[in-house]
Amino acid sequence: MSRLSRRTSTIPTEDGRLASDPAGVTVAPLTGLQKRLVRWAGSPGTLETSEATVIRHDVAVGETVLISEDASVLPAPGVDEAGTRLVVDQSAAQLAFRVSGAKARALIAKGTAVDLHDSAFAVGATVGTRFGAFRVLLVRSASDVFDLHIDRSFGDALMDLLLDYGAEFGVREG
Amino acid sequence: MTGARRVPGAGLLAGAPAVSFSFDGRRHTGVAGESLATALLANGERTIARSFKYHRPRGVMGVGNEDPAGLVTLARPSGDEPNSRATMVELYDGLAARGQNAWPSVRWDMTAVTDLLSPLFPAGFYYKTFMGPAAAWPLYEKVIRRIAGLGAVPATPDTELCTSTHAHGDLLIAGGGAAGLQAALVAARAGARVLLADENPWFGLGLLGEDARIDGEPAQTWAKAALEELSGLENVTLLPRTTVAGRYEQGFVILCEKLRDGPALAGDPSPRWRLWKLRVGSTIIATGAIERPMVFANNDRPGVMTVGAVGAYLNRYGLLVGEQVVIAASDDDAHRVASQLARAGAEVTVADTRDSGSGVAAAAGVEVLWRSRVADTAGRGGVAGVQIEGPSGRRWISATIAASRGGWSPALHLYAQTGGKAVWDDARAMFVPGAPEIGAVTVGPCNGTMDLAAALAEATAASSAVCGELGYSVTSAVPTVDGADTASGIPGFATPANRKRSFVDVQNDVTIADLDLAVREGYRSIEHVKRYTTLGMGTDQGKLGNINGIRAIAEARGEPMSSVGTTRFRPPYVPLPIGAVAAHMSPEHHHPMRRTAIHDLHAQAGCVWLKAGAWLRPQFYRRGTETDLEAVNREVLAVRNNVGLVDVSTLGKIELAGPDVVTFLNRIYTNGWSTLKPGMGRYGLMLREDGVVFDDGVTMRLGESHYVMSTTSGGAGAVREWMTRLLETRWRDLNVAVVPVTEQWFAAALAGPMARDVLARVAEGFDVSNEAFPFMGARVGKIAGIPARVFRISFSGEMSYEINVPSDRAVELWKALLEAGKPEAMAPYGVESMGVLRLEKGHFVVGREADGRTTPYDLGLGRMVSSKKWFIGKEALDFPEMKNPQRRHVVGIVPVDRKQRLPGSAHLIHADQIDAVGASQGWIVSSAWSPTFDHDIALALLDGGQARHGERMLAYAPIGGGKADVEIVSPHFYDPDGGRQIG
Amino acid sequence: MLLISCPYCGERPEEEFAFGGDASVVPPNGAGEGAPVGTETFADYLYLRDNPKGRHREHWIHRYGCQRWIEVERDTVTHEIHAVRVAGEGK
Repeated sequence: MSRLSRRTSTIPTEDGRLASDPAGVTVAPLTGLQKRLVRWAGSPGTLETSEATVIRHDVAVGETVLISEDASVLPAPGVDEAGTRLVVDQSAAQLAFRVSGAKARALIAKGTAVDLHDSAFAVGATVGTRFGAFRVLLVRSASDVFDLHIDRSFGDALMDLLLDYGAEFGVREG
Repeated sequence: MTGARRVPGAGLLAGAPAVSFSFDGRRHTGVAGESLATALLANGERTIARSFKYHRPRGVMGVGNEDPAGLVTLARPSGDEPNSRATMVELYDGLAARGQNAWPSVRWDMTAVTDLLSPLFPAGFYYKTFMGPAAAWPLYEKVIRRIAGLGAVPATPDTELCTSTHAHGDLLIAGGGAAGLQAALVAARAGARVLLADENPWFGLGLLGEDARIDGEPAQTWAKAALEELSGLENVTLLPRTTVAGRYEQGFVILCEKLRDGPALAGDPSPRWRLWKLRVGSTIIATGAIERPMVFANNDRPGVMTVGAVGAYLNRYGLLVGEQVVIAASDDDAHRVASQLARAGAEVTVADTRDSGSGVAAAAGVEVLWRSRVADTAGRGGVAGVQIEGPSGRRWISATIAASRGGWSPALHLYAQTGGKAVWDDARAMFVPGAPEIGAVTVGPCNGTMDLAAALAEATAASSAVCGELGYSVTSAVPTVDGADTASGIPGFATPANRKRSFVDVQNDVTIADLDLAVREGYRSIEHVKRYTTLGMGTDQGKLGNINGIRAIAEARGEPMSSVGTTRFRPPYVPLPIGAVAAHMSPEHHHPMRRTAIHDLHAQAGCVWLKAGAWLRPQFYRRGTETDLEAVNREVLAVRNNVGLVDVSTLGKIELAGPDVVTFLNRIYTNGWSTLKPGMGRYGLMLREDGVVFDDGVTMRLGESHYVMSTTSGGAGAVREWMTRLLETRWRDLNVAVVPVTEQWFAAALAGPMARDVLARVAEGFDVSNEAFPFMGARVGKIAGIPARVFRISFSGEMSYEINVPSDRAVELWKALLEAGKPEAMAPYGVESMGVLRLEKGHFVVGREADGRTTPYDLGLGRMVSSKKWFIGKEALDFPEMKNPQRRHVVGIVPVDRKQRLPGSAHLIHADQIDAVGASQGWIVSSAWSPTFDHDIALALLDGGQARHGERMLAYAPIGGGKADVEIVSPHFYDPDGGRQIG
Repeated sequence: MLLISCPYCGERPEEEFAFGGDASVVPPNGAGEGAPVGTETFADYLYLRDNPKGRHREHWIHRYGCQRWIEVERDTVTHEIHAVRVAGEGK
């Protein structure tokens, strides 16, 4: 009968410490992002975003969020001539944090009930969801990299929560 | 003593290191990883606890969560943990435990006098005894509360780390016994995402000591191989030490995982508990069956145990619990346990209720008495003798352990938690699951299927069915089984003669006599009997006792078990540590505070912080050794006479765009919007449908069909959701885009007679003169080189400009404004000062004067209510009561003697009614010292107040007794015509 | 913890939403364009609600997701969710 533990509980290793990953996850602010909120009338497919450097999150019919480091690939704020498309600049409205490392997915899973399995949330996917007590936009930038976009005023509180979630993994601030 | 001894080489922990621990200060040695119960038994600690009511000695009865009364307090560096179940605590070096609620100790408990007084404490005694004299009840209560109970609440916070996580899967299997392992194998091999949880540190414990062979190999070997296969699969999550605590609708399941019992090692932030919030497609419930003890006289003495537990201590922990063991049995499997004990060196007697059965025990040298049962036990501090009743009468046998098995009770809690009904099966003498629940299947003994082969078949079928529904193809076959004991014998219920000392609930001291009493007194429903007698209400939730209790009630009522039924099953299956449930939700994380974009600048300026709803805002800025009042007075006078700067970025800002914005604004505000020109703004009053003031703020028209609405700081979210609700559910024909921009724009206000001078130094792109930029104007340009929107609005009543810039340039703006204001020695002011300024002006605040009951008329804003259009709340304002002149109106309050301070939280009454009931005619809502007027001022709500200016009343605070003679005045103390903000 | 299938975002737990009350109640003269509503009628609209044992059509807002209003048909006894649609559609 083999005895399986997720972490050895009562039997320490030789040096007296329990096995743990050093810095299994890193949390760092992500800066320099430009963001636009686009509201438009008409059928969903009519909003084109041609650049690969744009993160596109379709919130609902007629509402999309576009994020890029390059402002030139994003539509300019304002109302278009036909009056059917409104673009609002939200670049200053949010902060972003990057959670990366072997334990990144485990950390994010503490905060959100969205299924993060590769089959449900592949690289490149975006989801607006609840994370702890916050509303965030979650982006899977790479297999071990998750970005959280949040309203600016909550930024400090979110960082505190990320460090709390990550404590058991030896989280490092980047 | 008991003769408990360890069998060398036996058990799962053979070879584990020795550790030292203590109980009630006595030092002992144990084996790392064994249960504390094992270690206590091994070291002869028989009495480790006392029962709730009668303080009878309590020891270890079971081997797991079903153990009813073996509760101790663990003294850990992070804090005491009372009511810890000794059978579930894993021993670690330095563990310190102590007995609970006994004086001076659990071994010698003086409060056991309550056992002698037990006739005074029957079920429901608090309705019958200690009734008089009534004045003595507080004394009785104090004494009884001290004596009754278990562990003590710790005095200091627990510093242990806990965490929680979400998880997903196709299939959760609750229970890692044979059936659970098989179900897991089937689904895992088919590729499904599987989680397998067991509350023990090991899987497959039910197969320990079994002689059966599965697929040709010994059962334990099969289990070990299964586990190895499962642990190598990426789609499997194995969760030992994890209790499936609650199963809810739509596949939501809560699990509680224990990561360690020992304290965290230095520098290692590992949590103790992890709560899993799981969402799965299906759950296979393979939780097994709980052994049901027999009921006989004095069946609560330490040394009375269940047969399975005795076998488990031997096979799992290598401990023989006693040298002389009596086993009260009614099936063959108990004989197998007896033979194992005998081979380990114990002197065993079996009293079997049947006529005949297995010869396995006799072959091992065990004395087997057929058609016999245990009737009573004797011994001080633990069993020393057992009375057996048989065909030839009764006799006493010397024994230290009396183990019984009266049958099995399927652990169908997880099935029943979503409302499934347990059904009584007479043939098997057990409650089994009834009609299936959505998303859950019971397999194996928890389904009433005691036979190993049949259990494996059920598990295979259930798992295959789940996989089939999910589209995974199954390749596994049902394993073959041979040599398993068949569950034989019909377990019976005894009808003990000594009903007063025959215990059904060993933790709460509920006896057969108590249940008889409840039925005699007319309690029919099992739910009522439970609560009247406290049967099953202890921390063990009646796992061993409830079915025996139901049987006793059925007998007393002369009815079948099926008509008594079970009580409602509710999560959690076992008590959960509150720390695990709370996990990361400390106050800071549960209610996170929001910070403005210049938070650090406020801190550097020496502000005192205020929690204003969800926001952290500067209350005021202290200079040097100023008192609070001195600081606030200074700030207020600076705004009145000079100029001040305030961070108002917390106010909600919502952009509205589209051809139908004006139509929309007209419908949601009481006042009209059609005449508002681009570049101007207007104050708006928003009501609920019942005519009560909901929110207010200034809306600016920036362009043809582009507006920016302002809301209160606390109302931003609610107003936004209200507007989108109207547009999405009722007015889908209106073309209006609603975009919150509260966070995109930082806002700071310059306020004071010198405000324009300061503005002129930093403004670009628009003319700041009074003619070009009148009161309520909106301009777009630059401030200190930063793109900005500037709104000329005033809350303070002075000339004021609200400057909005993108939040990422807030720090830059703030510093530039302070620099520009240096000639005037402009300083920042905080929320407290803002409050005094608005109070002097008589502006109401949502949440204070607009308290969820006041209408525009009550606030004196009748002129804002349009008679020319419809708006939300219009119908309600026409209700007769809304025009009642005796409604409470906002008024101003000043002390008659200006030097007198106004009492806080005061009611307004006539001076001669100070002790009369119902004298209150209103109350003070907001009050403050006004440095502008050099006396206290207040706003109040007063019955019919608008017609009572000039009247004198008494402001009286019954709590605290503060009093002041006051005069009712107009709420607009300062600059009632508003000339100072318009100039 | 209910699982609600938001038409825009997919299945999400209840804690991402806020409850908005009975969706079957229609405000009389809800845009003010019809005849004025009497006091009795309006008071009934404000304060009287059915309390069905069984299916209930109700509004929820997906506060932590798309922030859109949806209409959910939920069984008040079993919590089964029978239908979810964008608010205002399918009337």
